[in-house]
Amino acid sequence: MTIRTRMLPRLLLLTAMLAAMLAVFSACSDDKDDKKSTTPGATTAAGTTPPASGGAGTITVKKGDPIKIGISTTLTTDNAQLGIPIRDAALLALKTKGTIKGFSLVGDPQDDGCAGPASVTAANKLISDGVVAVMGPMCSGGTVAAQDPYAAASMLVVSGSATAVNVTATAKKGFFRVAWNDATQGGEMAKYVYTTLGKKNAILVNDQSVYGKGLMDVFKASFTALGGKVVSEEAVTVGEKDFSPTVTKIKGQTADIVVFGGFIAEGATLVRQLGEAGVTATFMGADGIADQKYIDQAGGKAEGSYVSRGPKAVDTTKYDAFAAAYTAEYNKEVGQFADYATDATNIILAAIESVATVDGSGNLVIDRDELITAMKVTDYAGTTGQIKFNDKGDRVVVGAVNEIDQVTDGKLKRLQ
Amino acid sequence: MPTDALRSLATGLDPGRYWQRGAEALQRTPTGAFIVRYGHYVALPLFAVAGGLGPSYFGIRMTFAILVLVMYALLRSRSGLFGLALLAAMLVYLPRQMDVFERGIMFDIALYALLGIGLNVVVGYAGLLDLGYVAFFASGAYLYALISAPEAGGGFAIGTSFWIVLPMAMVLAALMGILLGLPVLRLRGDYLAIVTLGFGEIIRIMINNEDGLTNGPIGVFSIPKPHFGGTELSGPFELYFVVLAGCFLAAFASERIRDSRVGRAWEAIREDEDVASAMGVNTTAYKLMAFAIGAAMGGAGGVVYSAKQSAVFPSDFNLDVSVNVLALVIIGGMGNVRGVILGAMLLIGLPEVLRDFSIDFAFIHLDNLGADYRLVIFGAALVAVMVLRPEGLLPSRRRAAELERGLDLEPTTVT
Amino acid sequence: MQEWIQLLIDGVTIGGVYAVIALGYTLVYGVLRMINFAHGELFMMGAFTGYYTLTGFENHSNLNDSVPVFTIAVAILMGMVVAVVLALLMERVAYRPLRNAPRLAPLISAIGVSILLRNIMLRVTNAEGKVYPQVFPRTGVDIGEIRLLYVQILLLALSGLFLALLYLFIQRTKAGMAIRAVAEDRNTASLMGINVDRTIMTTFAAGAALAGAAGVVYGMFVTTATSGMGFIPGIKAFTAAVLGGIGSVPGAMAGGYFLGISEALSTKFFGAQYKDVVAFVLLVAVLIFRPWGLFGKREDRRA
Repeated sequence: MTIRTRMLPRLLLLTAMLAAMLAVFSACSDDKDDKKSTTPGATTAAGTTPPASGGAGTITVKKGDPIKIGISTTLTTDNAQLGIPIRDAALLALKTKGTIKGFSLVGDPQDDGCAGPASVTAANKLISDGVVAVMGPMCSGGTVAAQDPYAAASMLVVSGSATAVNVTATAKKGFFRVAWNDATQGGEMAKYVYTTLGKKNAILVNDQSVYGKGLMDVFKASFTALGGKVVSEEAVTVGEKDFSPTVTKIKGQTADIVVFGGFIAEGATLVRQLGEAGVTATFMGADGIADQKYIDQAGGKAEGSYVSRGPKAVDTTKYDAFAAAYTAEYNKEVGQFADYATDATNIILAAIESVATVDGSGNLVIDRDELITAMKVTDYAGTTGQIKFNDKGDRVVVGAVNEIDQVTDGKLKRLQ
Repeated sequence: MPTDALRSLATGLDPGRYWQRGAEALQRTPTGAFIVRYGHYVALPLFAVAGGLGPSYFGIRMTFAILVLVMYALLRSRSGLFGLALLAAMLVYLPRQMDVFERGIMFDIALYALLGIGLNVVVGYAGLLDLGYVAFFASGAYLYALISAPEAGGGFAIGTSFWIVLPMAMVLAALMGILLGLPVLRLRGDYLAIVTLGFGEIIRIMINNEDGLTNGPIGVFSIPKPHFGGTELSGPFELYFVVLAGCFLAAFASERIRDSRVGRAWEAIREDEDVASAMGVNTTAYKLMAFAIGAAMGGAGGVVYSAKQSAVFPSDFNLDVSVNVLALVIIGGMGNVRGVILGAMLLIGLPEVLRDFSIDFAFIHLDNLGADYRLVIFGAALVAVMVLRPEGLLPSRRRAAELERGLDLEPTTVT
Repeated sequence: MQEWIQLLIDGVTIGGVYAVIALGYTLVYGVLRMINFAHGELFMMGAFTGYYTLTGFENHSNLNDSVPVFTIAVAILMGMVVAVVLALLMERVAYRPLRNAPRLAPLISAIGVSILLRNIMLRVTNAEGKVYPQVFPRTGVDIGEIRLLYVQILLLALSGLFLALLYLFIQRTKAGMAIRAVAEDRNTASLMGINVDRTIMTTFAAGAALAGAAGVVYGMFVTTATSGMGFIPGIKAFTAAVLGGIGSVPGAMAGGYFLGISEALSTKFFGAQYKDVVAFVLLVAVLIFRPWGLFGKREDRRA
């Protein structure tokens, strides 16, 4: 009896091993990825294919199925304040477009947590969901971390909000961004502060994020090169709501302008507390705070402050139309980066339309490499201005000036 | 009288009780005992094949649901070597059947299991509450990043191989563990928790602000992948096996240490430090040893993480990591390596698997339930698991026995 | 000199908030020996309640003419009520079943509650920060270069008042005595005829009331409520409670103010990015010489 009960697990183990081996062999012999109807080059069980060697594969959307577009944005933590308008704008763009060659469009929003690890998970999820292209990721750090898995899958990725310099430090296959490189914007901001506003002594405040710190680094370099003086560099912590000691420290120094690199919540708190403490220096922020919420949360103290928004078309007809459509759909003001998100989604759709073909059995066939090639030659008039890319996937300035807004009567008003 | 009735009703409503009673009743019958004991051996190959096909059912990825269930059965049973061999076979086999997303999660689970095994040495064996475990993880990750990435800030990128950095990182982390351990030797319980929490935060803040050395918030990127016998371990799938091997080594080592003289010393310290000291246990040395061993495993995990991500940022190493690792150790069942593995599957796997969660049943159609509410569900699940199984899913046998006996004793009366 | 005084004021302002939250940690720890990780979320819920109450009143403008004492009092009261109800619910569902469990189990349960509450509020508010209506003129008294905002004065005064009230409650009332007795020895207290369950609930309620009230006042000070706002003050208050000696009421108060002032001064000396480093180094320094905190009781045999 004892022998038999001991033998049983052994026998079963043997059976299990056999079954497992059989399954492995059968898995290797035929392509098991057909359930996704895509063959991303690097994810076959046999191992990875180097992304550069081509053979990226094609996507086949079966007749009657929708075309899936990935949306990688931040839906949890307080950063969702930025991420939700991005998702909504992208979904609206899909809805407005309706169909491509008779195939309906559907968005696949995934939470990228505004951080490296979660952005990689979101990337893997979108790749496994078989999306045609991805709008996102939202934050620069997450984008840098997620570029490798996307490139390995030859995925077309267009971010509307990753602005840090190092996102495009090395060209990654399939990556483009509609958002402006901080190198472009930081330089323009410094020029505006020094030349147009005539402020020579600046205090820089960053939020210790990839975006805020990176932007302030660029600003500092350009500003000092012009002859300006950086009086001191301060920092605030994301998530805190009382910056009184930092404000007191700024008050004790002499400067014409306080320049801030960071997002809405911290920017609004900082400008409000500076105003309440009686600091008279001008305040300036960048696209991270370019939102009505910044003004609302600052309780009237944002009045007169400047906001740089990156190079934008002087003609705002397209932007106004988009803002009206967004408000009509969601019954709220258009959020920051939402315009970039809609442009990113629209150029993705345009590229898909230009390369997708319907085969004999009525399926839609899209070649991933062709899709990326089509994106490279994009020349599109969007809500944020003309969109053209350089070799690294960065946007080139075409017929646009760096938009500077000033808060006037509780609204952002464009100065240049 | 009515209050008594209410109370018995309330205890009767506890599903955990039924769960246990049901299992006990089942085991009393011969057929039931047979099924409970050996059922999973039969079920496993079936599940494995079904998992490989990966149908979407109730919107949750079946591969994972099955994996967790089978792991639970396997880890719970005292199946010894066979169980472990099967487990190993499954952990190697199943990921081959998965797609890139599931493989990514498998990597994360394995990585967190490794971290959990390390923290388990500190918390589970030696009874030292550590909320700053992320510091060792970060030190390993940044060591590899700074030494090997061509664009690192420190200017000492010497392009050393992954396999050389790995032991270096373990030594560095162990030294840091001792460094942390020294000032806090006298502290106990929650005092220790807050100081270690502070230590973790200090390390992250320093990495964030020492731009010259670490690139600050911009992070270190283009971190090279390791090579193994001429092939590049380029993706999470290949690196998963590296972590898995690490897990098995760490599990083996930590169980061996637990059963050694050192382990018994830790146990003595955990139960009563003063008595242990009076009995001649060198509490200082053994506590530092626990910190060092636990830290070394964290450092190793950091190196693999860094290699897999190919870009690391200070924000990757925030308090959440420490809390997650501690939670998975406790949910799995403190002091038990098998429990840690199961805890990692639940704690790391669940929020990701829930991304697909949706309900499409009769008149209820909630498509984006998972996308929007996955963390709400996750929080509720944490509470539910703890309330239903306070000792963790798989408590160490000795701990469970202690708990059983200790139920009538008031913990706070020990003065 | 004036800058230093201003920094001290900044430190005492935020320190008062830390102290009030820290009391909740310390009270619960005193009776249950558990860290209620979700305590910061009670503070957050208080801030949201304050927002919803005040916006509710905004439409009845006759109620908040010049000095909206009544409106503010109602908002604070509502914040307290909501926080207390939540805390009792939390205690019942997540902590009471774990009273005899291994001591780390309630910690994880509390982390679960914290994640749950934070994410529910994130969905409720759609991640948008809720801006408080302006119930106060955002100006203040100027003494030389020093500026003390009215709302800051309110915050300072109220945190002081809450601390005093709680101290009296613990020291002078019967319920307070029961709390002290249970904290001392749960079994003996129960033998002496003290209803332990009710006392633990009282403790939770007292801590939550303070956190809820602090949330409303802090919300008025910082003008926005967000779902993540409880996290950092929660961790800071926990630090303050440990610094003062966890389980000790005067310790939590002292720890809170100590931490606030050290943050303000280290911002001046080292920059805001290093203030947490300074705070934690000070903490370690204190604990090396007094491992049981500034005001804590020596508990050599308690692990």
